[in-house]
Amino acid sequence: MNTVTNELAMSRDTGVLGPALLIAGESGDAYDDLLARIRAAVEPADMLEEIWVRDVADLAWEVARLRRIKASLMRACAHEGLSTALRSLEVRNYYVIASRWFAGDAEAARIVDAALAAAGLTIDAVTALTVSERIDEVERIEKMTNAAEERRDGMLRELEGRRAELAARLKLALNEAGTLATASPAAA
Amino acid sequence: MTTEKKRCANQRNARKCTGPCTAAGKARSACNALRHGLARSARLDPGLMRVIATLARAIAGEGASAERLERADRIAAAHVEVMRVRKAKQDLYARARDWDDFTKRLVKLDRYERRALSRRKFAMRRFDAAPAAEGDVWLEHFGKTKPSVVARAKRPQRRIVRCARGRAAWPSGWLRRRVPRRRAFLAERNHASACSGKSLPRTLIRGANRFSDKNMRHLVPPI
Repeated sequence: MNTVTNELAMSRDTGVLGPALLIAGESGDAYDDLLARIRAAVEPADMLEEIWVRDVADLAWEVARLRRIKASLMRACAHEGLSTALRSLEVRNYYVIASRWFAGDAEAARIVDAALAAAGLTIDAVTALTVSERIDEVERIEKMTNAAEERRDGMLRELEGRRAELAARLKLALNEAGTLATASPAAA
Repeated sequence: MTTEKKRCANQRNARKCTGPCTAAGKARSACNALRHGLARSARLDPGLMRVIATLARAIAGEGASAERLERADRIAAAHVEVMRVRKAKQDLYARARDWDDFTKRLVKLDRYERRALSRRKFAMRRFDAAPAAEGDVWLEHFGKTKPSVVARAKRPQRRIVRCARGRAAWPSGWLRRRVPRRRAFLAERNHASACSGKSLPRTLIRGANRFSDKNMRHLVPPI
């Protein structure tokens, strides 16, 4: 196992907040675009708000990543669901046919289509069986997706609350300044 | 069964194997049980300490007081912890082989991230709630049961007076802890006396276990 290395010191484009942590196949430009759009919408006033903006971008990115991973899991394990379906339909050499179907073999695809059609099933049945085969993994990914979404919403609430408090303080200060100005016009 | 000769040979061989000798070997074996190192504080890493210090200065701003810098340092440390967890997740994505193992490890790392985010959130709130003036430090800790040493030193003496006044009006220690039970006991004893029409023996309420269920059972009148 690798340890967490000291790569946080290497900042790419996000200043002191550390580098954007992307994985293979992800576009750095797309991340930068997302971060820029969020930053433009929020217009962070200080470093704390910069941290929140960065977190909102990271968490939104993570939610998208987890959804993509779930879809990849379903695609990568489709042959397991198909194998279960063919076994239930008592197709001979069901495991080999499922593996060949997964590899894109035309003959295996024909056999699979015929077997499913004969039983009145569609590819949705294969998807459902795949989910049932990998329900634990799907559940964990769903749980993490929900957690990331909740955290993202929590960041926005913190930001909103902080700004509301700041606005209230500013309003109070302005009122006090207005009271002072009306009390002593010369001072104003 | 192991023979004596074999046992002696094993002992001789075991004496030769005393672990790694070189510094590199010792350093490597020291990391045998290390999985991701996230349970260890980021402050123990000199490289991350520099990152924390830089971030803390950026959060606190120019010319910040030592106290403000200390609060900013907590936020920075928590943020670096968050980034460490995300880096560990990134490493996990890169070397994932088995879906089951991958998702389990990801869930475990998620717990570290949740804790680090929670620490950072409260550090941010404390940073925002920091007093504007130096003399208002005690206000921040008002109502807390365990205020910091700084706040205790700077707080007015009014609270101490109130404690002294309260101590005189309310029993403390052993008696304070047992007053509710004592009241319940007396209420039941009075009720039992009234029902049975005779006074109960005083021996029942003497001794260390006079409030135990065994003794209380005698006080309940027979139906």
